[in-house]
Amino acid sequence: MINRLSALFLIIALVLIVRLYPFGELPNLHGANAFSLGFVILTGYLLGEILASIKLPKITGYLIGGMLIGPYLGGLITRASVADFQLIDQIALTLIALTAGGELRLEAIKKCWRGIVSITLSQTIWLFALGTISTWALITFTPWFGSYSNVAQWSVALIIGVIAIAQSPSTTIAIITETKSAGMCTDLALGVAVVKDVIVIVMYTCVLMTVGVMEQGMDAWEWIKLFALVKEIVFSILFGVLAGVCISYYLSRIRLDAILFLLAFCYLISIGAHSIQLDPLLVCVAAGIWVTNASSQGVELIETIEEGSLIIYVIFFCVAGASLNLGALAKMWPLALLLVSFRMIMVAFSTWFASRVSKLAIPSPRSYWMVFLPQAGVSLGLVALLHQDEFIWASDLKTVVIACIAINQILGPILMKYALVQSGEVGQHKRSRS
Amino acid sequence: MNVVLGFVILLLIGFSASRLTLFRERFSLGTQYLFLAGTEFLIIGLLAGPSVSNVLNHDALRQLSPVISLCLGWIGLLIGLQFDKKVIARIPLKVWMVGAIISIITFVVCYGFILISTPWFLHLFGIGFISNGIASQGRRVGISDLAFLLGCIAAVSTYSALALLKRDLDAKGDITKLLQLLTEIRSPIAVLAMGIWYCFNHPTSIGYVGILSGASSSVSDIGVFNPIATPIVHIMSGFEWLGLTLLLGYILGWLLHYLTNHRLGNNEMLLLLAGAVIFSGGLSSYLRLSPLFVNMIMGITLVNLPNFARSRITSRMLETEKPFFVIFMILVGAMWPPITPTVLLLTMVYCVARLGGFWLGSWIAVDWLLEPKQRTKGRLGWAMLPQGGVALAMVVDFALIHPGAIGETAIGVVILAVLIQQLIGPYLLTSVLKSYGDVKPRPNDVDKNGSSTNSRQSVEEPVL
Repeated sequence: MINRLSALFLIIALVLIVRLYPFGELPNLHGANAFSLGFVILTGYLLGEILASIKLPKITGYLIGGMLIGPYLGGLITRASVADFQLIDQIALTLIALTAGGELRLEAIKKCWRGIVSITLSQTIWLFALGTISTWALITFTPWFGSYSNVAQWSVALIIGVIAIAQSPSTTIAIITETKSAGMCTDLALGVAVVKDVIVIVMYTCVLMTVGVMEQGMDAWEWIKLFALVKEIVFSILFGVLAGVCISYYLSRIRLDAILFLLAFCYLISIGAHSIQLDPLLVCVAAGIWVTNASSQGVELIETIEEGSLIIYVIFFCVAGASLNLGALAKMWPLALLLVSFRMIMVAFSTWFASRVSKLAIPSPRSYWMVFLPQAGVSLGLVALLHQDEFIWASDLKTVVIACIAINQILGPILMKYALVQSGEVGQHKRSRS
Repeated sequence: MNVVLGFVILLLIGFSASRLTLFRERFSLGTQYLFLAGTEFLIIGLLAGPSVSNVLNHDALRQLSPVISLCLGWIGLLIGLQFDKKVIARIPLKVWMVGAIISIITFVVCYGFILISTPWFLHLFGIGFISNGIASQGRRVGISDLAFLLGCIAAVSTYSALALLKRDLDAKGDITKLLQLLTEIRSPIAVLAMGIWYCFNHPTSIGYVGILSGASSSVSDIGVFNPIATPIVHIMSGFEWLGLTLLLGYILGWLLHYLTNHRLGNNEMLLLLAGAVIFSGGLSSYLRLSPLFVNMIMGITLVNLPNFARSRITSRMLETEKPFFVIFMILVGAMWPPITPTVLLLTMVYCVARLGGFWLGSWIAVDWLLEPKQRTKGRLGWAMLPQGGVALAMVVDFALIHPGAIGETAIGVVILAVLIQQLIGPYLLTSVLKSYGDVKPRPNDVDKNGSSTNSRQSVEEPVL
């Protein structure tokens, strides 16, 4: 630990010297980006290792590392650099989604499909209903939303209600990979995260249209948007299956430099999926599911990605940490803290309810619900769709959601790891595979 | 449309990879070498780049700039890691001297020939030349700088053609050994020369302001190369920049040693190597120093430190060398500017000058220093003609430090020259080795076309 701490200080000292010493104007965006990314990787890794030595998840270290050196706190890397990491970040995300799909073995899911369905349904209904009502009750007393009309307050509550359902598949798979977990709880956590990802996207579109109707009348309801969404989901899955066929063909017949092929595939998905109205995450998850379940190359796929998984996670979560607008957290932390606490209670309740209804034999019922807490990019992506010119409360809503996600990003992985440790599934991955 | 084209390119990668795997042994020596040298990836990069399909567009290239730093740093570190003082001490002084003489003479011939003949040729054909913009109080980065760069790059060769002959034609003997040593020791000399040149021609030292000339083409619009026209004040001298470069390489070498000097998994080792290389490459680029040179110093420091985990670090680097090399070739291919008359003319001048420089250099060095049985004189130099990753890395390095039309022209020249030399290099090498008995033709193994059918080994040849 002392070794890592001293290495961390040395790196930070080097960066400070370079940033503060008057070498003259050296405007070199290329150098600044590479320099910042190298700094992000080393700092994130070292902080992850330091936190791991006190039994905390490594990804929390990566996130904190990103926050500390990011433009909103330490200022050692600039906003422009963080924005330029978007492409590398997207490629990392698609690789994580491919892993998530690859880890979803239908054989294992068949054993717990009742659990996945009941937990997903229970969480979707309860979190949306209770989340909306409790958010409405809370925000009417806050200085930020109290002055808005009743309709606007309900609109905000409905949107936060949908976002409360969201769970981060990327954080879930990162914790599962880090802890090498395998078992029922793990399969449930991953299965529910992936299914909820699709549900939340559909629900969010419906809620956004409902909000439009509430604020602007029936003209705002556009069936075409809903059809476009359904089309996007169906085509993403179909395209994912096609991509899965290509990947399994490559891995079985050609094999040469598989990691390069996967990187090229993820790059093209990252840049191209949106332009042909496909969801990159869904495409990659579907491709991963196909390779694992419809071909014999599933293990090869996971092992190929795992060769570079650490660097993918470090970059992805460090950049996520650096991109987090901590100013939003500073502004709205009391409301965000309350909303996060309510969400935790609702997740615990809905998970308990589902397990009672479907009679699930969960190994650690008291802590199990914590595996559903992580939230990250999907929620941020959803609120980013709101426009100030359309809804006057959009900016305040974005701030509060970002603040909630900042808290969830720190707490979620820690609590999820704790729940997996309690369930006794940590370290079981290799054993179950063999 | 671009996305569709992107998927076609992806399929092309798969197809070329499968062809390479299944039928490589059936190709002629030259074609095999084109595959080995990663030429197909240069072409894929060109197809994916802004000049053709724009799948790797300007924004993407800017956002992938850390990957370029990583590749440059990786190449620099690998060159540096060869400089273990125990290994270096075993190389005879004569070989060092031969290497140095060949390098220096090739450099001088290329530098002089390009410097003198190019303006004359350009004038003769009525082609205007371009410079990197005019400094307010400094000097123009122009043809002499380009000549210096091309001279240094001319002195570099790649080992991969020799590796191919060793594998396929069972090349062995004194000349083969000598060529291998000469190829390995000459790259660091060229990187060192350019590294020092960058310190004494630092953008801040020469008052260079990176304003693009009007003759810029697509590559100069790429963010990576896009200089920001901000006046720069003179702060440090060339010696100070050199001191800083050496200090950075030394500190970063120690840092990497410190980070990797305990039990680590493969994944962690890769992360730390990549992180440290991107960090040092980016830091050097940020300070407008050479990432290749800084990382080479880092590698030299690392390899000569006590308790250096040679086997773990070097083997991990060599395991992952191929993917990085392929990505680098694709990105360089994407930066490939359109072939202009200037580029074409300069490429011809460069190739002819290099051929002459090698001939003269090896004639003098071998005649003066080597044993009679090794007196292959001028033709020995021609055996070292093939160029590859290091030459491309050096030109990209230049284009990042001194962005603009000169860097762009240099990229065009070096890519084209590398391709030409990849075509003729292996044949000249084979003929030299055959004439000195290091390659013995075996009628059963080699067919009429010169394609070999004997080996089906899956050896990973060094790609640099």
